[in-house]
Amino acid sequence: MEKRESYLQYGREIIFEPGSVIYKSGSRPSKNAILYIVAGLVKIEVGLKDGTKFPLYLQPDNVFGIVEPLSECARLTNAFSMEKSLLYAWDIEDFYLASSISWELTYISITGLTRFLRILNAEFGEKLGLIKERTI
Amino acid sequence: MSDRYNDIMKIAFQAEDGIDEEIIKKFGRVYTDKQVLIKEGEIQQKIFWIQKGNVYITRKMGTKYKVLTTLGEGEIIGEMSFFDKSVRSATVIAKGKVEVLIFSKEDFADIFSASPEWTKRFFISLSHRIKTMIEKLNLI
Repeated sequence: MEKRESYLQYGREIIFEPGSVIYKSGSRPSKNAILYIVAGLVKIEVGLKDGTKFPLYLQPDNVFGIVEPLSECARLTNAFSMEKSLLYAWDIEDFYLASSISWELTYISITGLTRFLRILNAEFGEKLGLIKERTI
Repeated sequence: MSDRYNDIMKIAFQAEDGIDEEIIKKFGRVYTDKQVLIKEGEIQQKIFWIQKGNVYITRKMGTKYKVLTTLGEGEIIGEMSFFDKSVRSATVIAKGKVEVLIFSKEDFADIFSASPEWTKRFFISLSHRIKTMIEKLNLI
């Protein structure tokens, strides 16, 4: 296992109290928008216009907040600190730099994204099953 | 070093600019309309890089395939199973004629680890796909 200090050195430390909002859907990503959980528990909540909400709980050694800065859009989800959480935050360039020197960071970041996409695909598939939509 | 490894390194460092006849001969394949590239539930770990055309990402429901999204030129597909080691979660079907380069997981690991540019490419591609899916979920 690589020393995580090797990639955390490019980020800055932020502490969130239990129940605090890390970001809200619709807000612009801050400069240091990409976050790594060192300690604590974070809830990512996808809230849809029809009122459906589905949560994703993230434990230490997970990365989140990547999608919006890389897609250059406002936050698509809510993020809450469920416990006192110690996070590291990178801006895009520092995140690229950190991931270029660490396979471990790259791997956990990409698997975090693929897991999230699988959940969304499954949710979308279920919703499509309930309505008439294009089939082939 | 083998020719194959040299070709893989060419792709790793030159991406689209490194694609020549030799690489197409070794890694290229053409699919016709409605041909299946990836089948849901499969364990195979080939990675496809779309050069021309579009594919449907679908999920089988009963006897029909529901279209989740459409992906086109420049997109990489099949990489999710490579990273999270799960079975194929969707069936990928050619929408018309599609030209792809196909890599084994070993080739892909070499490409990916050789150049940080590919890391960026995946971060951006997956981020866009997540954004698109959330937007689509909001349209239903």
